[in-house]
Amino acid sequence: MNLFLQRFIIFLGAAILQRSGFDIIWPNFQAPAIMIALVVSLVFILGFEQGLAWSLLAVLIYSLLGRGDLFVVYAVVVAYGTSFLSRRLVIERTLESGLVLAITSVLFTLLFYGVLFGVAQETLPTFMMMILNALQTLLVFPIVFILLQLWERRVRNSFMSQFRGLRT
Amino acid sequence: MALTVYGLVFLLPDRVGTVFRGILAPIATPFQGIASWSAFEVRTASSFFASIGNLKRENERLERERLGLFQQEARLRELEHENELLREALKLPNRVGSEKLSAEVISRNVNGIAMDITVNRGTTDRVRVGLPVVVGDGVIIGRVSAVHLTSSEIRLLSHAESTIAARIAGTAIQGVVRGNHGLGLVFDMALSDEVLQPGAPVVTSGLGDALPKELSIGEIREVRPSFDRLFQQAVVAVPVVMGDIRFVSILLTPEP
Repeated sequence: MNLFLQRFIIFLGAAILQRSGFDIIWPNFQAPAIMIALVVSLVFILGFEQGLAWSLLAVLIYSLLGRGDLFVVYAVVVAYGTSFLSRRLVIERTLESGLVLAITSVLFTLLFYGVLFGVAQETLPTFMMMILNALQTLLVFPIVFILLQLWERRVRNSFMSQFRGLRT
Repeated sequence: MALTVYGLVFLLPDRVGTVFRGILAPIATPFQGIASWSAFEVRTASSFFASIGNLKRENERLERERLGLFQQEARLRELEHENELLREALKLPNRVGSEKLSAEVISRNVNGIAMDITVNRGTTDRVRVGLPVVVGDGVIIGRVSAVHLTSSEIRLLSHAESTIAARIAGTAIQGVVRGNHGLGLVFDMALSDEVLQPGAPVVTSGLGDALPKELSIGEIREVRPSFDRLFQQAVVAVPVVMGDIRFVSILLTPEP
């Protein structure tokens, strides 16, 4: 299957899980935990340029499934922030890097509330709700990160095996 | 390249967004249905376990309410019968009931406190923009704001841009009910010399827009003067928890 189509299906799945799963179970959480974790993971795994491009596709799908125009803009900030941080992280030290990125996702979740309040002038939920939302991102991030990394490795291996099959 | 596409979609959300939304919605709706069903089941199960401790108290409260409603129902039946007789005597036409189309919530928007929901009915089910959406026997919760092939977006009354004409049931007090930034509803524009009683039921007045009249909205709570002191405002308590809504009915009112 085409790489674009594969990624489109994954992003559509993530957006549906966020909109029709998480947002129904926890209707008071306003920061989309899965999408934040997805953008951070994509930028870290694929690098800034590719990561940003694919992140934009993911958040556009998310936005098209409902209304979330503010998050589309915010995703660019998340991508830039992650890229800035990931240049300072050693990729080989996966555990430490993963931990720093998980904390970054939590901070981006809390910052989103600041954006909602400051830019969109939305009414914020209670402080406890924001903390629980941040905790949700902390729990969701490793799952999204590991699944995405495994899938990217599989894609890379399939490309490599295609090259190995070529005769020069 | 990605930024250009992104800019194009973001800068022209109404034109481009609607086209893409129209394409994506029919593909996503079945999967959203499955995901939302699972999510609602999880939510129901977790709230059941959380509420075990409150069951006894809740049961007593419901029993009291049941007895109250039993008496109220008997009285209403009597009034309904009387109303029919009077209508017949005065040769008034009967009220036209709207056809109800049941729908299930398949997603919720996070921008704001659950102010928009998506349901699994669309143009194929004769849904149009502006149709009222109710729960239970006729408690209005919002209106259809966008329609796709197999799904529709509902803007809840609590949305900051929602406004409907309303009145206090059983009186001539007219006003408008508008959303209070996702937090609840406000009954506004009531004249300052009118008496707004806490607990009085608020219903749609049917004036100004294509909504049927006498759909229940909620009841009056705190009354206060408006900012310019020309009118009165009141907080409206709604009988449903917006976050718990799973099934709704769309009233297929005739086109104006």
